[in-house]
Amino acid sequence: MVAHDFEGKVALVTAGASGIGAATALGFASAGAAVLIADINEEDGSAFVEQLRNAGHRAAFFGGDVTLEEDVEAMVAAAVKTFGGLDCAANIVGGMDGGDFPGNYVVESTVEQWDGTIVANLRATWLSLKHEITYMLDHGGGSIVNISSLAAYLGRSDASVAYAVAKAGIIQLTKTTASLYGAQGVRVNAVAPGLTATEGVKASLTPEQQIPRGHVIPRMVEPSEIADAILWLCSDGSAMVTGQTMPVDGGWSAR
Amino acid sequence: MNQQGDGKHLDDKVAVVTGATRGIGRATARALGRRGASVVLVGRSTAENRNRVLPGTLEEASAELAGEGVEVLAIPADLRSAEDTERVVEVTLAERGRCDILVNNAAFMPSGPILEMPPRRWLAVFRINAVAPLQLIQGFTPRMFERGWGRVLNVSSGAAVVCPPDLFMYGSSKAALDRLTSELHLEAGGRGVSFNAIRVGAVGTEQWQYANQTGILERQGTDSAEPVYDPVAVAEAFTWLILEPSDRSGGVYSFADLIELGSLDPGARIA
Ligand SMILES: NC(=O)c1ccc[n+]([C@@H]2O[C@H](COP(=O)([O-])OP(=O)(O)OC[C@H]3O[C@@H](n4cnc5c(N)ncnc54)[C@H](OP(=O)(O)O)[C@@H]3O)[C@@H](O)[C@H]2O)c1
Repeated sequence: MVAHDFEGKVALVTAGASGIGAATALGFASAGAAVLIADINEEDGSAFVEQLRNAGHRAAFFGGDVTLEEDVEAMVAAAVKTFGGLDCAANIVGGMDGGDFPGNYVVESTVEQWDGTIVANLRATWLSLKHEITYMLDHGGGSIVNISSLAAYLGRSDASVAYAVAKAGIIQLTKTTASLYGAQGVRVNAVAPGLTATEGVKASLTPEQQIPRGHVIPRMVEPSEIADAILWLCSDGSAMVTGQTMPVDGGWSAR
Repeated sequence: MNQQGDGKHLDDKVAVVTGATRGIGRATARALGRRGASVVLVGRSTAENRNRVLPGTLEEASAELAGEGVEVLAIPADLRSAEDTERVVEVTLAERGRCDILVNNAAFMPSGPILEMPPRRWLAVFRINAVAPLQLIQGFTPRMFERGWGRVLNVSSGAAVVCPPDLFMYGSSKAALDRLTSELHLEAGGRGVSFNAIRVGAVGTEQWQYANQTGILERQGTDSAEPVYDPVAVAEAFTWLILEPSDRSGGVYSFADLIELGSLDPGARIA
């Protein structure tokens, strides 16, 4: 983890209880930020928050569903109430939902699967942006990072078609939002992870599959390496970067 | 320093150490095991349920001790929960028949401005740092009195006496633990069971190293010029106190006291 200084800053991380979200929350905390971890999984989220507090960090948990607007509003309010502001946000909620699954393509997908995945990625990210930015516009700006995916770049990925489309949508959502609010001090970028070694992903892959064929660098991405990119995009080091989606995919998208 | 590990003075003893997945607790379990004690390890982190900030699991600690020929039993438990705490007593009594040495070492140390901390966090701190120790003492001392031999060591902190306001919740719970220790001695001392507390100073555990590297110590105002001791030397000092006769009871010892008594090596510092 590259050292950044987020002392005195408040960061919000959705899906912060596990995987890339947890790595990002830990990254922000160890760089000095107070972190609000939002997740639907109360048990893992509160346990993680306690681990962070025990280590001496400032962390809090918000239990809620970021596909629901009232939860998103309450989440931003919770960050502000608990830590006195909101400077950075990592919108990490995503994935396949509604029974959608990897390899579920155009002909096989059902409306329920399509909608489930579109809502879990696009609606969740849009709603998060909406309420984070509403606060930031009135309070001196901030920096936000969304999560796209390598699947957004490939004609045919191992993910579902709805997922690939939703993650491509995040690239556009990121550009549009960045263009609208950059002048008022809000930067918005995205990270597009390659195959990332979260516990869930590792458990679902055979040892051979764990060396991704597509990566130029022949290993999976560590969650902390995605977190590194997110932290940089939230830091002053990237002050003139906005509207961009940065692949962190071992070179896959460059092939 | 007085006793090096070889003399097996605790051969027929059962020792329960809470917070033994890392840090001072893990080093203490090892020091007691090396003296021949059968050791019961208590903590939350397991291979399945790791702490995502700090290293150490019950499995790793057990394997380390078993590798040294120590008899070891690990009980996963969250001392925030009264039921889990009760289970520590039940499982220990069922598997080992008794507990002769209880080291109440696990602790919760959140920090932050007092006015911003939710009051329920203070309750959680007291639950883990003072109430769970009493619950374990109540569970284990009847057998100690029956056998006329027992040691209760409560791991306190210099923060019981003085600490930055950010650590007040923690410090106040340790002050309660100190009082608990001396009151227990008044109530139940002199029956072969000793009740002591050690006000630990800065110790270079994984948690301390992490807090030092990430600037947490600086933020908490605990990055003083105070010496930082080696956890192994601290565990040796704990062991010294446990090996003392039971009439050394009711004491609340600082590191300075332990150095004066010759049980903590003043040279065993990591910084
Ligand atoms: N290190 C110092 O500089 C210092 C200074 C003053 C006093 N102390 C005192 O020394 C003792 C040990 O400190 P340390 O630095 O070794 O701490 P540590 O490295 O943070 O270890 C704490 C231990 O307690 C366990 N624990 C915490 N909460 C628990 C819970 N709710 N249920 C069960 N187990 C729990 C942890 O295991 P899991 O996370 O696996 O549950 C871990 O094994 C504490 O009483 C502390 O207050 C330490």
